[in-house]
Amino acid sequence: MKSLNIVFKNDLAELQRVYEGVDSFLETEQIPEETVFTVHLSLEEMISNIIKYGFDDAASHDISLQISAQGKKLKIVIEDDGIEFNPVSVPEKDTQIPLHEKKIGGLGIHLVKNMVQDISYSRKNGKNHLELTIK
Amino acid sequence: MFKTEVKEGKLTINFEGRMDTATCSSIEAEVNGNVEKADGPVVFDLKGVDFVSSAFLRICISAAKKKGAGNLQVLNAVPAIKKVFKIAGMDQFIA
Repeated sequence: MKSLNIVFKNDLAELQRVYEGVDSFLETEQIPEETVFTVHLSLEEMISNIIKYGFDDAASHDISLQISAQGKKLKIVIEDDGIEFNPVSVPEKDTQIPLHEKKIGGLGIHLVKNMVQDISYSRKNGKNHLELTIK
Repeated sequence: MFKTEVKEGKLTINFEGRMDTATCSSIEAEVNGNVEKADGPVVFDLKGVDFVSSAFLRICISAAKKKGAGNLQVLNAVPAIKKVFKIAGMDQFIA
């Protein structure tokens, strides 16, 4: 199984570098365009959530990303040492409610949960450990 | 990022590139300002867009709330983007 490991800081400016590394890996593995879109969306939503809401201090923190490919199936692991947060336990969003009642928050997690094959969370050694399976 | 024009009396905003979190936060205030000033329905044209995140959906919800649900139309979304709107329960905006 081939894999990509990137460690980056909790700074949105880091994302460009992360995406370049990810795109190059996905291209080498010849991952189909539709899967690439889902990877981009999942990383975008999950990592920007971590950077924006995951830390209650001004310190610099490491976030680690691992993507492994088995054929066309991808496993993504994101780890951070921020505030404990389990996106899997966020209640399912009711997308059918009328527009004037639509809440703006929580859409990103809803999208990811509904686009990936599997999502699981654990708190390990003081870190949030999120695993996504995409195929 | 985006350009505006008035077509058949409707404000059309032509978006370009990736509508990710960083891009959306840099254009959100200006897009909202344009939508507020416009008379009547607003069109978001996604011909030049290959990616949207929830940050772009937020811009759409905010525009639709200002104009009323029937007065926002999203045109030329590629299939992957249409799927995002559908999962979000926002496919009523897709023309």
